[in-house]
Amino acid sequence: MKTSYPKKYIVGAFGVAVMALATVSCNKTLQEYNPGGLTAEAVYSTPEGFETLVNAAYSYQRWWYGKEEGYCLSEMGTDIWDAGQAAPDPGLTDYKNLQGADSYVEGLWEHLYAAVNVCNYGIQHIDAAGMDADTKKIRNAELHFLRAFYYWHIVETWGAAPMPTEATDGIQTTATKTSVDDIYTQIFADLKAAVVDLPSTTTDYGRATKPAAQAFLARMDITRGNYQDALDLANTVINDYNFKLVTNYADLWPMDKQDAAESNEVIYAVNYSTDLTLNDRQDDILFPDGHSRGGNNGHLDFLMKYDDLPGLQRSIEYGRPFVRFMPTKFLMNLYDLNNDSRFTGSFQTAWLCNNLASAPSGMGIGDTAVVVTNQVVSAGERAQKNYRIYDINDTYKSDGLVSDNLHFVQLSKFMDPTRSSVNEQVSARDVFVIRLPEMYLIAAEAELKLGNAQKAADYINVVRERAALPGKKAAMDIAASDVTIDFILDEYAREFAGEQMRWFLLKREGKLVSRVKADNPNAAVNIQSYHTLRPIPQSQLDAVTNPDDFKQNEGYQ
Amino acid sequence: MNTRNIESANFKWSSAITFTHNKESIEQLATGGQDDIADGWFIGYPVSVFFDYQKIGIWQTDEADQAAKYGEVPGEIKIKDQDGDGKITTSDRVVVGTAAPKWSGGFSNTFTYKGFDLNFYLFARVGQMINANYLRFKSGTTENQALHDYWTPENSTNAFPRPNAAGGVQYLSTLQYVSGSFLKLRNVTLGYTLPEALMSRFKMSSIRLYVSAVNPLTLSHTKDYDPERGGSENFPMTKSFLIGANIDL
Repeated sequence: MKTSYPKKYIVGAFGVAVMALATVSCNKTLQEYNPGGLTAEAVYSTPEGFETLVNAAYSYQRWWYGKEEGYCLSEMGTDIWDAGQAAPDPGLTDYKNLQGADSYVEGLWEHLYAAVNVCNYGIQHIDAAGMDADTKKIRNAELHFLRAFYYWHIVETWGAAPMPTEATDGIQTTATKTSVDDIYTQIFADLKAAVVDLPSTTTDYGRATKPAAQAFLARMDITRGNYQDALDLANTVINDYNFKLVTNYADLWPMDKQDAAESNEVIYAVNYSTDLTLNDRQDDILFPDGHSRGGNNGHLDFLMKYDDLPGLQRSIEYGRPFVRFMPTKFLMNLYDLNNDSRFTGSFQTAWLCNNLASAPSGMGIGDTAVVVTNQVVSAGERAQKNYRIYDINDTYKSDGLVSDNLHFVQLSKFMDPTRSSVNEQVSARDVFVIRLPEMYLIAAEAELKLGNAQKAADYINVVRERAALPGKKAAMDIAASDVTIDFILDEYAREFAGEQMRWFLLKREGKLVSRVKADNPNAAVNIQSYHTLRPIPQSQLDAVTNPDDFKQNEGYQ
Repeated sequence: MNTRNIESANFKWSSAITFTHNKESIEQLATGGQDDIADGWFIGYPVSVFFDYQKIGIWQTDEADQAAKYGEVPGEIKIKDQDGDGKITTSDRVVVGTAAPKWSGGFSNTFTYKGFDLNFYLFARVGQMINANYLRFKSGTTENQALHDYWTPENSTNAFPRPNAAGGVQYLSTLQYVSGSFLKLRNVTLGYTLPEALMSRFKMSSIRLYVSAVNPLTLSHTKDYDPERGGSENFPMTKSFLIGANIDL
């Protein structure tokens, strides 16, 4: 039944409602809550909100570490890596027509400066976050560490560059370059502040600690020629904490031994979560600004093309071969195979049959299917084997030029057989940014520069003895007379191949161009002296209104 | 504009003509007198333009010496040195074209002759440039792509550069700027209405049989690609063909 009210009652009710509203509005302020209208100021003014800012400041490291772009800018174009068949960026692997349009250079420029901006904002506004004094001190120190960390990547990659130390407010249409010296002054100031306030350990793995800041500061000091400071800091990290070298070099890399490596030898790492949705992969809903692959991609990039060879098929264990990067012949010949465990601890040289359908007759599951070696295998030996062999002369020509960029001794450090499926691109492997051996090698370099070659040899021998095959410690030892900068650089290559520092290392020793010319013939034809700086992204140059002041780095278009 | 061209007892022809002329240019920018390269806005040009190096061909074998001056070798893309300073720099980039057409026009026609009726609609859009992803040239990878007329010492084309497994070929973006002008038959319908004399036999008031096609024919500069798509490889234009009958009981 339909109810009908007399009209005057409705008007009366409306009148009362209006009066009630008028009365209320005089006494109370309207409480607005707009869940979609959060602003940075509002979120970051609470302790919980500010924690998200600090987390965000860390997350930008993932654009560099464990990513193809980061490998290209930190390891490629050096004496130890060549372009694989599917190398993504010849400008960075071989210096071939590297220009400001390079998308990897552009992307990392953007993300590094975005990271700096987050750090700047946090440092400026931490007082308003309402944190307790202890937490605030630590978070402030972390932000200073991170800002220094990002600025180091910027200053070594592009040289003189813009150096904002306050958050960007509004649109900026001009850019000015700060000199390399001034950027380093800022880096040292930030790191020294961080060292004072950071705790020695953290229960939240991945956060910066005092030894991490000291270790990174040691790297800065050796880079800038402050040898005594570098030596002292390296010794502090070696002696004053509980770091120790993992017994077997090869045990640094298995996924199930990652925690052990991190609690012993790793001083600073960029972590990725085993809950893959918490990583940085682009997702339209969860993470619209993420990376197209996300997670650690090292397990993809260094693999050779094995999955179409007789007896083999793509498997979780052997990984998804992206064939991006391959070692140079120089790196292949850098290891003392009789005494040094790091060749087999870093590279994969044999694949066992996992596919009878394509196997030659007589080969069973688990039999050797493919061998790739840095040795020479004679025709006679080959004739006796039913498996495929690629020897060093198959992969490289006598002058070191690559003749087969599909089949090579592959870096196996970052492989991840714990991925859920064969083609899963996201790996939860953490990236070890600073390991203890670097402190020994920094101390060695400092001692060498300070004139103490024997002490330098002693430091190097700690690293080499750990790497020794059983019973070969003495054979790995070197003498004071063996120690040169070039030897130390070779030792870095043996210890840290693939660990995203080679380009910076060669650059800081003034050896980038000479070593590439000597040991990487594929890149040697292109490299020029100006390649010790990368091009500033053209999009950035085009976006400023002062193009006559803010110019491209020398040598680039 | 609608016209009735012929009206006789058996034959009728009527037309509709549309024409649009496009004139567009940026007069002023917030940057003052400066072009805003980052946003792609240039004073005196339309809002949507292509700003890049200008390809003038492929370096040929007999131009090796000249190519070497620019750090190139025969088979690589030859770029116009706009400022004539003897090297290619970012200041050699120019507005190579605009995405806005100069004009577009439509021409619709309807003919009837006895029981037959024919309708077709011609449409043209002229003067715009497209950035054709379809012409992307991936020199350094094994990924498949459209068939390209690429340079070899034996094939001295000026269309596409020499493939290079090592990659790193410069100025590849310049290969994708092509004229997007086209003339197309947007739709065409041919119908035949059966004579009324037959209707009483079928006990119906009228029957019309027809064939029609949408987007069946395009004349353009891009082979195998409909430039009306604007350069994208997504969202293909469809061609459809229809046979039908209109029956009134």
